[in-house]
Amino acid sequence: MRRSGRGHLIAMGIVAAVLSAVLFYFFFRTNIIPLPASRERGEIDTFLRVMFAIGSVFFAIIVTVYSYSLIFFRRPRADAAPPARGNPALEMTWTLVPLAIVIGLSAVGGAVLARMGQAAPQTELQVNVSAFRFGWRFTYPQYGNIASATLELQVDRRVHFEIQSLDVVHSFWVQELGPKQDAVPGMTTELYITPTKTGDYLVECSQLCGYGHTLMVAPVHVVSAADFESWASQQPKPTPTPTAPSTVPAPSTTINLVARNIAFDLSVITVPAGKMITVNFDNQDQSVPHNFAAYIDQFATTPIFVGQIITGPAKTTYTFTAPVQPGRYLFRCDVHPTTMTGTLVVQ
Amino acid sequence: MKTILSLGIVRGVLAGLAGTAAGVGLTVLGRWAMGMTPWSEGPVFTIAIFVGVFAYLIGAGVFNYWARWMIGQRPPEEGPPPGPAWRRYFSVDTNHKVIGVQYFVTAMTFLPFAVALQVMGRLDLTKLYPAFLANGTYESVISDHGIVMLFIVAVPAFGGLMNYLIPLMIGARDVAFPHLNAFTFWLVPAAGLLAVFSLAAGGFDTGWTVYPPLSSTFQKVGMNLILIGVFLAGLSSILTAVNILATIIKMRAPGMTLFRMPVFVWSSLATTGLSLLFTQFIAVAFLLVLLEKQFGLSFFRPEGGGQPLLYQYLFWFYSHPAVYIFVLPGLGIISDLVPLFSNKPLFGYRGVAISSPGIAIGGVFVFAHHMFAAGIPAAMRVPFMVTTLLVAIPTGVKVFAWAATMWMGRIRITTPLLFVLSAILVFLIGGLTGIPLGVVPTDLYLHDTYFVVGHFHATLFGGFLLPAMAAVYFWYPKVTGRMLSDRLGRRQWLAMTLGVGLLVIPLLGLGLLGMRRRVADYALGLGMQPLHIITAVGGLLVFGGVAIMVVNIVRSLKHGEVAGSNPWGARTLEWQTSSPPPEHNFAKIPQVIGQPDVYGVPGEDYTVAPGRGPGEAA
Repeated sequence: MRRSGRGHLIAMGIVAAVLSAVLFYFFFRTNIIPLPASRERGEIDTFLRVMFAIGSVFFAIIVTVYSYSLIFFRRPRADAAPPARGNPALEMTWTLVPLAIVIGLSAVGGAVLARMGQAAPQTELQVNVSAFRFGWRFTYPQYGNIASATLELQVDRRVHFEIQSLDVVHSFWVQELGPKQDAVPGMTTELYITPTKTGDYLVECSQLCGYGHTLMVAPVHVVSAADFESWASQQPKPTPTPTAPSTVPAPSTTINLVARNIAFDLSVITVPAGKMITVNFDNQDQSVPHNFAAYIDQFATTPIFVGQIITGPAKTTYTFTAPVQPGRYLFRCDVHPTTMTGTLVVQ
Repeated sequence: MKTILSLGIVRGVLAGLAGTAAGVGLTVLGRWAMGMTPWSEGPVFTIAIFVGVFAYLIGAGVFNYWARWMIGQRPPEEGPPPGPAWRRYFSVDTNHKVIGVQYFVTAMTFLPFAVALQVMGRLDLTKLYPAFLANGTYESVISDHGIVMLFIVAVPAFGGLMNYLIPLMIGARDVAFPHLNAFTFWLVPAAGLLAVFSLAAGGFDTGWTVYPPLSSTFQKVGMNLILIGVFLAGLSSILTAVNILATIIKMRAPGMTLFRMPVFVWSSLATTGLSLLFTQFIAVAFLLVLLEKQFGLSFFRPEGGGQPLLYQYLFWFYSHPAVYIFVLPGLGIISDLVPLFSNKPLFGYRGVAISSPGIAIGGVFVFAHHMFAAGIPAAMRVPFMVTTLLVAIPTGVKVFAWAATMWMGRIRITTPLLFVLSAILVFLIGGLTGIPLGVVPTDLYLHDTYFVVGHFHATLFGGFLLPAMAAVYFWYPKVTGRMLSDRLGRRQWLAMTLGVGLLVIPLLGLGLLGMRRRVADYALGLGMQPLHIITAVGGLLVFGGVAIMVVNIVRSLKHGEVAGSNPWGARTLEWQTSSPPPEHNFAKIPQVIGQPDVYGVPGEDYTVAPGRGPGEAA
């Protein structure tokens, strides 16, 4: 305990060095972030490790000073000189060293960000992303606008995402692929990612969008070039969006309705007035919730019938009584009120 | 019965309920008279709540003074009212010490509620039994946790400390505007009750950030309650800031220059400056959401020509500086207690004092770092990354200065110091984990994951809750004249330190694993469940710590050891008067001649004429 100030400093320095070495080892040698599967994720992971390494040195020094002081500087010392009230050189050091580190980190951060945005030599795959409560739809303009509820990507081919939201703010994120980008209603945001590993991942909405936020996920498949081309060729080309129905099908008390790729297969349903109607509903979208609901008015404020939401693939049967008053009503999926709508004709 | 009815809080709540009912009636009648559908939940309750809050303030007696003054009557007598002493704490009173206690006790009343909400969410996420919170309910519960913690606990708790301590610390007899002070306090219980009742009125699954169009389109009446509640809390915060700023600037004792103020006063200066200038942004943002949601105006909905990002800018103009509003007073408390219990002057007092406004000013220029992934112009992300990282420097100055103060000191381990040390450790974790969040590329991965949650909770546990606990143990003897139990205190410290560690570190780990924040469920088999279980245990320990604190505070009122005027041997002015201090603080205003922090140096006095309580030695 009779150690001089210098002796204490040396002892403490040794402890701090050991502690930072341990932390350093932990962050560099253990896999703290799982499964990088894109060029951008690789950049992020390396940078993150560097920051953790710098942080662990600071953490070690400061924690050591506190613990050391707590253990060794508890007894009053009779021989103590008047205590130090400050030291301009030391204070300058602990202002300027972090300043230098911070400037360095900013420079590297800017450089990494620029590298992540650099154009790729080969042709980019264009994917338009639509986010809505509570699901995703992906369209491929280079492939005849095919639409898909799953995200299919080609390994080692840079993807240019154009992201839109149909209702509230969402965020597009695939953990293995790295960066995320919000989907903001009324504007188009962009994101570039180069997948480097084939595999199955998930798009997860990472901006709270309401009660269904947790379930707002869609499968991602990163596949080889050949597999991607064959997938694209097998997809049905989208039918033109149905306009106002000119021919109305004959009324029926039993309706078979299929939900697939965030769309109904029927745009017009005709039912007899006042009768009990049975809807055989088939949701074919993997892990996407849908339902069937009918409303008096186009703004869906007065319901005729609201069916329970089911998550696909699943089938259910709804029964409801058609309105007595003949006319045109609205039917839709409540989960996707802007994209999955149709006309309920009562005769 | 009559005694209870004469309490301001009882009359206020009754009047508030009556006012709300009247507001409902009037609005329905008005709508009917104008030929609209008489009943529509949203608009009716929105107007009724405003009427109810106004009735509550009138009922509580907040406006009595101004009303009498307007009609030319003599204002009522100042000073302690007749009757038992506890009664003045439940009625409108203008003494800053009464208001300080009212603020702090209100905050500590809502604290267990807010912690319990989160413990519910945490237990749900352990997945050890079937989920008991439905999707939607889970989001409402955690959103309400955030709102209550920040606006009803953190801001009023430090509001209470500032109200109580600042006049005493700077040698003043009261704050600059005592009647305004009472008004600002009485807004807080109303805001708190609205935030609690929001859950009963359907909740709000938007998170505490309340981003439109989600908040203005898909929400029930619970959202309106929150929007109005936070608006009221914001109004209270702005007016308190005016009051505290004026007090610090104009009412210091003779000889107390700015660089002779305790660091807590410096950090309060920085905090209230931020509150005054920036709280208006969140108040306006919430008001616009309310108008958009309920009255069809359009600010943020693209269909009506609005822009969703506009809200996010307005929100973060406030909510980033707000983080410093929550933590700066806590850092001030640490800076004052470390030298006292190290029996050594604060190392580099001026640097530490200046770093508070430094953090405050730096914090103003960083709002866009919450929006790196939101769709702001790509090039603007780099300057905001630089400003964000620069805030690390004044923060670092504080942490280094505390370490250098303890180095070669003569440390006395007391319960407040234990809380301070835990606070520093946790705050350090919070600060260092902030760096990868401030750097754009890594933030694009970590944003909206549990890493952010972990960082934020480390910052607030280290900068707000643990320093607030240190403050409770340190200043309780001044407020009540009795010490808190040390035995319970150390148990609370142990529970909370362990609890915070177990809570925060797994959150950071979960974030790195890719756990999204604000989701009610996650896939098993990714190694997340053990971390969720540990963090739930941490949450329970923190809740246990809060419970011990409540028991200790209540028990020690009667059974605590009698404290005397200066049980810790502190230099600052609040300890140079009796415990509890007299109605107007000092028999004679002290004359300041030295530095507040110079402990352990013989011959360095702080005051010339300490207005001591009867029979006390320094």
